[in-house]
Amino acid sequence: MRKSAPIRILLADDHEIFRDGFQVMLKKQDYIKLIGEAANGRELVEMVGMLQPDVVITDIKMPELDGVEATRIIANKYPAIQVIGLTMFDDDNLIIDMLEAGAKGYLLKSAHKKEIIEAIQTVYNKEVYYCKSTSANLMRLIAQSRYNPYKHEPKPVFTDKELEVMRMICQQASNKEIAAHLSLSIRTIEGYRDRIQERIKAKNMVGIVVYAIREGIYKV
Amino acid sequence: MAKILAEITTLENERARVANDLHDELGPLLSAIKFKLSSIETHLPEDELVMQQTSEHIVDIISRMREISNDLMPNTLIRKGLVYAIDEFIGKLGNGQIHGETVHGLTISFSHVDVPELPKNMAINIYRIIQEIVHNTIKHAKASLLRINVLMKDKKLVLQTEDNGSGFDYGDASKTSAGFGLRNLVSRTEIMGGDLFIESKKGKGTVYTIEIPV
Ligand SMILES: Nc1ncnc2c1ncn2[C@@H]1O[C@H](COP(=O)(O)OP(=O)(O)O)[C@@H](O)[C@H]1O
Ligand SMILES: [Mg+2]
Repeated sequence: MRKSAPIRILLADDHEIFRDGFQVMLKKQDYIKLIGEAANGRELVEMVGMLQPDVVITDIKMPELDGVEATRIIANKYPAIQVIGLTMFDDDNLIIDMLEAGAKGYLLKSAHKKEIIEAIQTVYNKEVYYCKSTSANLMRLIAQSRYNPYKHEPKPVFTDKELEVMRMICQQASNKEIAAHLSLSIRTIEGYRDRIQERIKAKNMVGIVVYAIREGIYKV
Repeated sequence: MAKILAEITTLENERARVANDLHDELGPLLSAIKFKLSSIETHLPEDELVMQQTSEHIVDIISRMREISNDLMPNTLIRKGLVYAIDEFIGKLGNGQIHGETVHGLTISFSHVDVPELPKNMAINIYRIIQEIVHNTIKHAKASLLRINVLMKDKKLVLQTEDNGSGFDYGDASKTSAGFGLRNLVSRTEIMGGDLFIESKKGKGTVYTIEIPV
């Protein structure tokens, strides 16, 4: 789709081996270009100033300046540059800190290539990205945190059926279960899901859950 | 006393070191392997399958390592302090559910005042005490409710927990060989120079009150 200029990304992580693995993974993707690597947050901030990437992907725990502080600086100084936090494990509170500092998404370092690419394209398009393998606990924490990407959007209005589907998604119900409960076909439920995701700009069910909790559609 | 202190300190230092090695060294190495694998282009469907499975195995190792590392020493405890760590611990118990606080029919509530920043050793000790109390409640109490309350009173941090379960006879329980968890509560309280009160009666639930000078 993006035949013209590739998305230019900058990676920060204190492990050279990790950076190397990341670079190898993306080498064959011609619509994403890794334009630089930083070994800590301080280097990252400097390189962002010089290279002006489209997207920054940064580890959270790093020496000198950690990912949270670096993100805060970048988000303030260069609001057009989108930041994705990368974390080894789902250290829930670190991820919350990253989002509150201005990151537009986060990924586990165990994420699949496809998901990493999806995340890069999503934040590049100014939308938020939550990692697919987000724990239920973290979804709740995000929904209850100060981080709120939905503030400025006009709020979509949902039908009762859509609200019910959202609530059931929050209860981790499968499409099959939701279909049985509402006496509709699985196909229809899939359609509902797609439409809901589309309207709240969620990329996966994590986004739906976070939205539903934050908007009080689903009470925890 | 000095001996217990030394033992607990050594234990916690070791735990922190191993947790750190898993999290900060082996983790990134494993994901580097996964990333590199994903760059290989396969031409046969069976190779593609092997590649996919191998990649899933790596994900499994990483998530298992995460659990081990977190059990050994929660990152949140070190980085964000006691209150966040307790919150996360309780939330994770009910994994798979958004209502994270209900575990096997036990609802856990946690309330706290603003807790001043505590020395790391103290935060770890209190965290371990709460862990043991929660685990005991899940394992033995058959309770439906556990309240955990942290408050400050006259320069003392007061941890109070209350369950509505079966209760037990402390005298009997601490004599048996099973009583390692209870002894741990006592020693950890002692090395912080605190006091531990257990009120428990068969059929009447259990209340722990632990007061620690801060
Ligand atoms: N909250 C509780 N409610 C009921 N019984 C308890 C509770 N906590 C501890 N006990 C009793 O005290 C005993 C000793 O506990 P503990 O020292 O932690 O050892 P363990 O948990 O390994 O059995 C338990 O076996 C149980 O019988
Ligand atoms: Mg025990």
